[in-house]
Amino acid sequence: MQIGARIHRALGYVLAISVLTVMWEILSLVLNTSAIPGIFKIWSYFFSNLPLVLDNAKVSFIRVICGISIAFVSAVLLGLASYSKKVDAVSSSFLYVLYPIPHIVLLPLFLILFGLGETSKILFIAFVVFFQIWMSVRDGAKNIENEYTYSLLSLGANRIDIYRHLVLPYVMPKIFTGLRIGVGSSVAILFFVESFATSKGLGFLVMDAWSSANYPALYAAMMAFAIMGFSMYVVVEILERRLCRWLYL
Amino acid sequence: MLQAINISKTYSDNTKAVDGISFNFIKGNSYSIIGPSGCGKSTFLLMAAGFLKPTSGRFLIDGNQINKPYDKSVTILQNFGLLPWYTVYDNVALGLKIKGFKKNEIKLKVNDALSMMGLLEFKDYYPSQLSGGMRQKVAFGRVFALKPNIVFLDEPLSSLDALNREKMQDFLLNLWKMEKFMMIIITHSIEEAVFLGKEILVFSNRPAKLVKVIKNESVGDINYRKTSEFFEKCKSVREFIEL
Ligand SMILES: Nc1ncnc2c1ncn2[C@@H]1O[C@H](COP(=O)(O)OP(=O)(O)OP(=O)(O)O)[C@@H](O)[C@H]1O
Ligand SMILES: [Mg+2]
Repeated sequence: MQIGARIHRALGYVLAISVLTVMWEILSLVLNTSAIPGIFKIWSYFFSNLPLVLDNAKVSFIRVICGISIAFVSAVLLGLASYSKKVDAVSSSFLYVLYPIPHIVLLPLFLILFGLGETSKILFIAFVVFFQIWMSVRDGAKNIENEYTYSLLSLGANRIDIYRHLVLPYVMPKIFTGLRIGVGSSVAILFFVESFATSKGLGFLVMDAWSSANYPALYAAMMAFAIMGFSMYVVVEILERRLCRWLYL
Repeated sequence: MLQAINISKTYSDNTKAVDGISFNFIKGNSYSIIGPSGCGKSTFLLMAAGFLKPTSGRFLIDGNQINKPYDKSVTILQNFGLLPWYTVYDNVALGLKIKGFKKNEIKLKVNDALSMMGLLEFKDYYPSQLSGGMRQKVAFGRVFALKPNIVFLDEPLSSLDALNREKMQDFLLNLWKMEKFMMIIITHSIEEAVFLGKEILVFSNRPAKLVKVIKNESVGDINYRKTSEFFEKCKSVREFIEL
């Protein structure tokens, strides 16, 4: 049954991709402009320039992974701490003040503080993703029913036991919810920070191809973006199924 | 012995839940607590088990005041006994793990508890894959594995249908007879209270006061339900419960 379900999902993905490809092809035929090349042109550019694409994808990938990792560790730790009502009272007031700000407008601040190099890019991605994971984890940690805590205390649990056997597993699905949202936005932020002051990365590739009207290159770069986002999403999904097995029976 | 001395509890929102209850619970005996909905039974139990502090009064175990859960006790709450992310095996093993037993020792005790409960073949199941009755059995399995002196139960069977409920009452009674722990069980059901409690404590409407203690010496006989004495007991308990 497990395997059947997996095949089902894979088929679903294939179907979705085929439909989207066909729609693109139709769009390209109907508009008949060099700005919307056919899928074959895009693919052939993609593969004949694979080293170039991969080279830039690698730079982008490192940026995004570093950013997510920093955000993940700090947001999960801070979120878990909200299990304590006292900690939550303090940290949630920061969350409420900081969460609704459109974080993306703070980019100039990061450039001023950390310069135009890698540091500001990575930290900015981390910054935006941080709030998404924090919000989700904190939501889970503060809603843990007292009865669960009592059950564990009655078995002789200390604080560490409670975090290990109750708080962490309880919020695990929430961690993944946050991570999934975070992965999506990290790729978008990546494009944003790579669209200026760099000569490496998929975002640069997109901007460069666009300004020189090299359309196959433009869409190949976009496709690389999509593939990167999709693969990260799939990895998160697989990890979730592994680590939250009790939810997928 | 567990002594409740003039226990009262007022919650921080000024809800008075328990009012001046005193009682001595004797080692190895079983007690049912029954009373109207929302009267303060759970509050009393959570205090006795060491999770909540009384506003006034104190609980003593063998003469020592309780400030935290007593390490030779286990508490089972209706819907929160099992951790959904652990398998049957890991749920039963959890207490032993926390108490620092060695791995092979845990394995021995858990397998022993599971086979005694007839749950061995389900040891890799998650709680959501079990029926309500089986889930409660697993929670009791934890009791069996830990060998506590006191077991606190807050409506452990109330989510079960009538037939399964009687089966689990038999099961719990046998467990108690075999393990000889002190059992304090809250229930909404008069029959359950009479079947399981050597003494039945009847609480008043909120704030809970101890209205009546009914002796019920025939508890322990698995056929007790079928006797006329049982019906008489149920009737007399009913008289003391305010509706
Ligand atoms: N944490 C709390 N804070 C404030 N009031 C509470 C709290 N817990 C319970 N109460 C109130 O105290 C009273 C007694 O509650 P308790 O849960 O002890 O009753 P109960 O007899 O166990 O009820 P039930 O039969 O529904 O299980 C109720 O009015 C309840 O609303
Ligand atoms: Mg209750």
